[in-house]
Amino acid sequence: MPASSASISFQDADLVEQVRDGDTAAFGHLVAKYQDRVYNTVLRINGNADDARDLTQDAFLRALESLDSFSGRAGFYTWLFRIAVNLTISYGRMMQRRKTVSLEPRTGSLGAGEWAVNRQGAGLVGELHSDEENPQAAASRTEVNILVVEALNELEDEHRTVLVLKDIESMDYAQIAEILDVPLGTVKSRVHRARMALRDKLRPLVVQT
Amino acid sequence: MARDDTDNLNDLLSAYIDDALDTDASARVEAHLAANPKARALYDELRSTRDLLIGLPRDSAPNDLIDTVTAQLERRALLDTDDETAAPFSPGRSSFGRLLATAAMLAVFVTAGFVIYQNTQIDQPAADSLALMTESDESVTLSPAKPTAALETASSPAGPSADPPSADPPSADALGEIIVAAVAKEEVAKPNDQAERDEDAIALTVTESKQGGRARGMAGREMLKPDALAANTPSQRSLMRAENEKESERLALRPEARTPVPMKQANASFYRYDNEPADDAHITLEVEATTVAALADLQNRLRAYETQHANVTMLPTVSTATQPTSTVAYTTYTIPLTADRLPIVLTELGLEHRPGLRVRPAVDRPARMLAELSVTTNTAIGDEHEERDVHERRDERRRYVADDDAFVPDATLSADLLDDASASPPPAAMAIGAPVAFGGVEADPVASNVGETTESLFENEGLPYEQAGEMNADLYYLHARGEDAESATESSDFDTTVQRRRAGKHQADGGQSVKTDAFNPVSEATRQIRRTTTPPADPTDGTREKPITLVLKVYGPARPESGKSATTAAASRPATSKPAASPPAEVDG
Repeated sequence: MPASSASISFQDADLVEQVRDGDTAAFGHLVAKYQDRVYNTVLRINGNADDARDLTQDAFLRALESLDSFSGRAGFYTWLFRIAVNLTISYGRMMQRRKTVSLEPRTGSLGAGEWAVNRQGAGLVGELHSDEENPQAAASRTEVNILVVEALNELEDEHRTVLVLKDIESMDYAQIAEILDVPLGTVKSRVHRARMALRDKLRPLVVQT
Repeated sequence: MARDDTDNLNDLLSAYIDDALDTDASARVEAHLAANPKARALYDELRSTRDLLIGLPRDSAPNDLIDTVTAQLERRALLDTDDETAAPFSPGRSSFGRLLATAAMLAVFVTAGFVIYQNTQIDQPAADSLALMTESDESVTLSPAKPTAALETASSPAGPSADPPSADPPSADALGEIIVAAVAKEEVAKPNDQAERDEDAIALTVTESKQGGRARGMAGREMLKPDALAANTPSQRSLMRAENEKESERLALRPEARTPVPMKQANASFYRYDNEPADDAHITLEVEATTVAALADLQNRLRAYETQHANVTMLPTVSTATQPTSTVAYTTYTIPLTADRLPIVLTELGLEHRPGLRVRPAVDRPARMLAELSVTTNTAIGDEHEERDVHERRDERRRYVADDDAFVPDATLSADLLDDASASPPPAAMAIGAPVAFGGVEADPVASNVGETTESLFENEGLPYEQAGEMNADLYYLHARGEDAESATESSDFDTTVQRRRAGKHQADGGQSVKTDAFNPVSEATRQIRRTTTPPADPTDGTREKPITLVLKVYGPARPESGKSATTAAASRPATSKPAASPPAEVDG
């Protein structure tokens, strides 16, 4: 039984065409490909793991429903993120509240019960436990991350969104402009203002580093 | 420098950090930073702020998200088909199609209105019943008393409880169609026998749409045709209903209700070989068809899949092995594909929750296994984990064998089996995919013998070393399962004591090693892939395509008789894979 290394390349455009032809299995491939990135983005913007899960799911389903409107001018990835981000922002406005990470970083207590139910917190706790080589360094980094997440959640929606896309999701300005449907210059200034706001909230950390 | 200029240049700092300025603007910012310590401090702070964000850990989507989305798609497909009877689910349906559907609906309502008007002129009781329908527009709600009359009017216009429309019989037929469609759509309460009939109709519709929906995504699967459905007997219909109910339960999306697969079992099938590229991996699944029909169906689907995918070449290898009580045959299909394609392929092949098929990972397929790729590799930490696993595995291997060329089984499983050496007699039909979690023993002389076989295949048969190794691994696999009595007879190394131990382990754990029902190959493969797929170098490029070889070992249904050819045996085996009661004959040394 020879070990074949032949691979099949499925590009987004091909998959989109297959989905349009009625092959929903091809859409499963797109879901598998992007679910982690969409979820992480939505989670960072929304701040709640349960909501993020539902919103991610909803984003994929809406993308499938409105695949007709996908012109291919932008990449499927950008288009999908546009849907996901818009859904998340709309949901946040609808709820008229912003979820915050259920952590109490300033108390230094890592045993808060909320941690267990909040994926963001759980992820950070997991990070703490996963670094076996230097637990102290891991704990310190986790504390920092907790503060960062909390500060991020305190930002205005548009600032948080743009920072998530730029610094966490590593998108370029053009992609962000496409996703948010705003001019490139607006993205630049918004990123700057968002960073300034976040710097103000994290000033002690920023000065330390 | 004027204050405005300073502010403007400060505003460019973020863009400068992100390398998003043109040359001129960058030069101005650099000059500004060089001349202005405050600006430099701000630059450092903004850069630190950015780095803090970049340093946040990334969260992965919940493992069952893809299952959830897929199930939602299927559910929507079913609902969609219910709404539009014959129209299959088509996410990319054109606007023209929607317009057409809207026009059709309008036509139906206009017709209904006309018919109602006609009936009000002809038959007052019938008109009363129908008025209820039109009042609620699409949401047809018939009162418990009214639908009986309405349905009777519709289905048997000459019946005793209906006043046959004397002037306009066609309008009654049209009304009947509308009512039946509405009842099927809204599932209103119905009298028992009518409900029974309509339930059949609904169940059949669901079956048809489900099959049709999947058939579009999968090559070669036969769609159930309405004519064929109509010809089904009531018993067949009830069987189909039962199957639909099971499927509906699955679609109910309760992943937490699924029995978790023990990690050892889940990971055991995912090997990396030390003589293969680092990112090449195999997933080996054993597929046991418990009925001849299921086997034939699976083979057809595999063939069709290969036909439909020009760039997929399966390498079916038919192997036959004789053991003391029966002759078994299995066919190995090798399917090259990519990691993120794997769960879809498994679904397309219909390996998930399919009646008549048992799918499980090859729990202890011995090979020159170096590492189980069971940890995430998408971070630097993950890479370290993987490397650590490699070392651990290597150590284990060294513990078990001195000869690097010898094939060794999964050390973990072996260790488990060594703990239980109760020498109960082996069950008879541990053939043919009998789900016994065999493992090897380091003292098993087979191991070293197989190593020699590899060398002989390599040197005498002229096979490439990797191929010889794979073949040898399969040979060993048969040895380990006690299925290759012919080889065992030829080889003095085959030890019936080992066979007894393995069977004893199976009996001792009360069949715990039979875990086939708990295994969901699609979701499990997804989880495995998630753990093993590395992130893209370019974040805009999506997940890196990763070559994967899916190996399916397909077994036919079990059969207690011996001495028949594999093909004959497969065709006449009863639909069971349970071990027979009588013990097998001893293997001759």
